[in-house]
Amino acid sequence: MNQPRAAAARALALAALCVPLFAQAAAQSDEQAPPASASKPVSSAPHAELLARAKALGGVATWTPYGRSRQGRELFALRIAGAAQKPEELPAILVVANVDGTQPWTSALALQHAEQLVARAAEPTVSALLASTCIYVVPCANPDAHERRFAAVQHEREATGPGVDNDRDGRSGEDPASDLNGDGRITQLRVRDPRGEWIADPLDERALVKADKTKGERGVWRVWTEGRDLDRDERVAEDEPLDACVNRNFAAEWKELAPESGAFPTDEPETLALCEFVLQRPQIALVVTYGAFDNLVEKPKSVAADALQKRVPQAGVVEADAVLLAEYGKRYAELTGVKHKGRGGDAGSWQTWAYAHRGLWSLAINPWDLPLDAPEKSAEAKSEAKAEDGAAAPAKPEKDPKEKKDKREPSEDAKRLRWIDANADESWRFVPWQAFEHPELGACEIGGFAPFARNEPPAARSAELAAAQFEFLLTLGADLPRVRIEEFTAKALGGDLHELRARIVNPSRLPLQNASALRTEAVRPARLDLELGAGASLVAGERLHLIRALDGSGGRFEARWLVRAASLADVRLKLSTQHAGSDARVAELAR
Amino acid sequence: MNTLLLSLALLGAQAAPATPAPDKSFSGLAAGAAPRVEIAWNRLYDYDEIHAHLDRLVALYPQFLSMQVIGHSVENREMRVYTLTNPATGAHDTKPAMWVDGNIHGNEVQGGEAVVYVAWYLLENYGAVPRVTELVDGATFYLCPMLNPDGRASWFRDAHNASSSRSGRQPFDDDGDGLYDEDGSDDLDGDGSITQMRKYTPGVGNLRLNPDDPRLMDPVPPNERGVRGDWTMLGSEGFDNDGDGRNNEDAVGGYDMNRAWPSGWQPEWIQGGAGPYPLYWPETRCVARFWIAHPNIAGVQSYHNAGGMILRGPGYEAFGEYPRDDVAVYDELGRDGEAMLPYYRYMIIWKDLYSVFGGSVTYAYESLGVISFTNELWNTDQMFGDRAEQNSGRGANHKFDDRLLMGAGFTPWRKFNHPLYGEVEIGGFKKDVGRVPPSFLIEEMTHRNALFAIRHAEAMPKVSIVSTVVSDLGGGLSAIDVEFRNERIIPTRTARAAQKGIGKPDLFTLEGAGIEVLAGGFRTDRFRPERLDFAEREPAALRSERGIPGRGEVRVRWIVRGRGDATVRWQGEKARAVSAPVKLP
Ligand SMILES: [Zn+2]
Repeated sequence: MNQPRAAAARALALAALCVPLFAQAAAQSDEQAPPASASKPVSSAPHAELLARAKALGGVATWTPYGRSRQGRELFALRIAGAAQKPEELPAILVVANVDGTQPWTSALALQHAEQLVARAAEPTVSALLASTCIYVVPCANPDAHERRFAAVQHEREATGPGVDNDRDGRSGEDPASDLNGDGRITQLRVRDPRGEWIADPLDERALVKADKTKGERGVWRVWTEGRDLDRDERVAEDEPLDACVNRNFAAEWKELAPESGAFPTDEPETLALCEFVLQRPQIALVVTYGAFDNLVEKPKSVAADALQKRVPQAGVVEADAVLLAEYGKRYAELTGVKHKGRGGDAGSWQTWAYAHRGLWSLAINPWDLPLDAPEKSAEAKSEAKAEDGAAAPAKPEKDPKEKKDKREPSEDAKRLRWIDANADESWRFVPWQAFEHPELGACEIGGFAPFARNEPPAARSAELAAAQFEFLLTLGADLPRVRIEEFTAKALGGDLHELRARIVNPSRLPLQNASALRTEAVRPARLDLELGAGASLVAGERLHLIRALDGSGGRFEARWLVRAASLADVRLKLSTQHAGSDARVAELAR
Repeated sequence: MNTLLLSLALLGAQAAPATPAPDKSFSGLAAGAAPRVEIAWNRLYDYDEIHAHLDRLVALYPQFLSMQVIGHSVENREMRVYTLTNPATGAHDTKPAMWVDGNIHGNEVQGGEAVVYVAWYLLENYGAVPRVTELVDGATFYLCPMLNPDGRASWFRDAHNASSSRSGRQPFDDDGDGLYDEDGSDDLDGDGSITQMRKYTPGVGNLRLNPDDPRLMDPVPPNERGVRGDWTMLGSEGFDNDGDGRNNEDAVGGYDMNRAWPSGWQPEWIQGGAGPYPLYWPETRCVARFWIAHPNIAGVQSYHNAGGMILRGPGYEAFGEYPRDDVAVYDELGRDGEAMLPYYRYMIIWKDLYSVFGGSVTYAYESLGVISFTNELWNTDQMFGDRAEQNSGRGANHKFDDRLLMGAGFTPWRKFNHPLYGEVEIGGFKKDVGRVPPSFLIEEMTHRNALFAIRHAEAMPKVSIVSTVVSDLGGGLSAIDVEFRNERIIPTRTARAAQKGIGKPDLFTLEGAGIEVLAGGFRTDRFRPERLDFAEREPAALRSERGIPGRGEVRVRWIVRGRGDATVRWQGEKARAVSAPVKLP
């Protein structure tokens, strides 16, 4: 119990640090004690349970189904909005979890966010957010793969769509994984084989590392997914019936003819439904994706503006956007303390499509992974060390010099095992290698990391992790671009002739359109209409302005007209945008 | 001593064609003397009329032609595919299939007539022309006359010009003002076409009337004397309907269904008209699904207009050239096409035309491994035949219109009082001039292009077993040598399919109750039987990514123990399966 408490203390300290840097939302909520529900563990749950909880939520949440999975499970979102007249027209944030399908805990996390927003809707921070911003939460974007976490045999696998003939033997799906040792989990299988590429990590025999031939190491083990060799081709579990993955099936950087990509982008019903969800809600400006991928801890690969001159430019985040994303990264690190990198790539992914093709801000978050850090001795020992050092630097382990002599770093898996060993409750995460007589291969061993070992935080830490993520989410609304008419004045020039001046301002941190939106033109420009009543007429100026670029942090646009109007009540200005709100004003006489 | 047993097998058993009646027709005429279904091939037909022609063919030839609805367009028109084959010789999906479509671009209408012609020609000549009979017995045609039925219907119904509207009819906000399709062209003079507006602007224009033909305008370049033109062009007929200071900038639709296909697809900002994701429009998606569900499709032709082109991929330079063996197939068919289609050129899309991302025929080849062409029907070089000087210059269309259409293709300039521009003149060529041929050349166009698709269909793989030879190896062992041949130009698996692992590999099998197959493999040397690329496992069922090359052979050797009757067999996705008996004495 020591460790979570220490971590909570650290998180609080960090949150306190960030107050001067980040405005309103975060600061206010820190003053309040989290409600009791926030400290309950957040744990993975089957899709049906998530669905029932979501449906029952009520309050400021609106049940919003948006399709069905390939196997017929309901795809659903929650729309969470305050008392605004037309909340669906407010600038919106979309939170999507578990598009991968292998991150079921993130589904619980996202649903808990929705529940928190409902439960705390009356709190100033939350109500301020909901008054200005509509929040959509899709807790489980890939329910079919999600369910593997709760199946009789657990299997951590993304694929839910049509399979291909992986081993090119003219048959598809004839050699899937199976639970040979009957422990309810698909783990790994290793066989001693001179063709093997793997050896045991000398620092921890349970971990496998690739043999380094340049150092004279010879492979010992061949490693497979646990299963039979049903097609007797000396390859184990190499042709699963399903291959297409929802989060490889989006159009951005889609890899044609790769088994995981699917037949064509959006062939997977879950992929298509999520695309349509976004296309039908143009008010969405920012997307938070919980899954394997991260672009906050690690700065994403960015491309310079001049790389965009080519007909098909290099993939990546445009530099101007990467700079803002890095600012989010700092805030994220301060609020959550997350330091590990994410997994997976951009190819065909949801988060990349949202950014590169739709011009949305796309924050990808991997909330937890098996730690690589040396286990903390104990909170007491640590705080003593801190007190002695008088600095935040972590205490150095005593056996450090000896390890240096070995010159060998433990492999990443060995580090993960080190963490598991240090936490008695976490032993489920690794299945010790055990001898097994394989029907086709003969003597082998079955074991390795358990399914979801890297995707499920310890129950004891889950509430605190969720609270930190929620804290981060609450800060995002204030940043969304929001344009307003700051000035609309008329100067009388004699008779009924007036010179009109208007100033449009975006006071928020984010620009009206990010660099991706500016190039994709997927977000329509702000529209400024001069509306003249029957008694007014235009003498000079543009009746309609389309404003594409408007900086954040006070970016402005100015326009001028000459009109004839007997009454200024006949002279109105209307501002409308896709995802940055709207405004309207009647001209006022300039002083 | 080896005992050689040679058995020649004629395989791919087909029902013998019905004995033809004594030939009283003019079989040298493509259409024969008296077709059972009369279709005037000098006209263009609207959506309903195209289907009506095909339905008449279904009614008369129900044994060969059937129709299915594979989806619906944005405006809920049926997306129809007509399947043409002789089911008595095997189900449609057991035979190599030629897909032919037309009119994916709404204004490129004559592809529809050309698709109907394919069906009509094959059905009318079945039993009379042996090669037609063989094709209808041995292959399947999937015919989709209108991939963009809404666009076609609009082109017939609404005022357009020759180039509008490529798009389908799903609303699209071209000008980014949040309104959809609010400012299209307007047929101000009511002639049924969208022509041009010009205004007399004495001394401040940049054009002057051509002194020989005042229908034409000549540019007046900047000159030292300061002379300027008297006329200004004001673009296509229309108003600024949405009052945004621009004319005709947001017409109905505004996308391109031939930029919507998955291979090499790029988003809207790189490839205009692409849509938010591939196969966004239902017309494209149902066709792609049909293709995926029919791996027997071995050839694709897509009819467009215009320019006289036989186009193949790649669509973009950086995609790289196609594998050499496939290029050889393309080149042979493409050059044949040039011979069959005077004034047409065989071209590579990116190199000879322009870059295209997400075209349908590049998808057919790159993702499905199918040899595919786009033909651009009609070329104004055909107006005066090989008198090139008559076809050239700005006045060529007028020369043709004046001499051969008696001026009916041109709306003469007439005064019109425009609300913004004041007095203007409206005139120009009508929508059916420039990109569709005149009626008296439609039949030639449809026939030549239909025959090119039929020629492509004849090139689809056809496998036969040339010989089976059994050799006694002594000690109870025998060798069975089988030569499989593909008689046609297109390999059973294109090099693209082989490289990328598209579809299923070919399967060469040996089965027999009394025999044990000890080894089997593909011979690498015609004369040295022991040189064998022999399989590591399952020697009785050999798989091959490369398949059987076009007009080439694959030689297989099996080493077996035992005796009795056995069967050798070839099976693949893009040709009919064949088998032959073998006897081991
Ligand atoms: Zn076209």
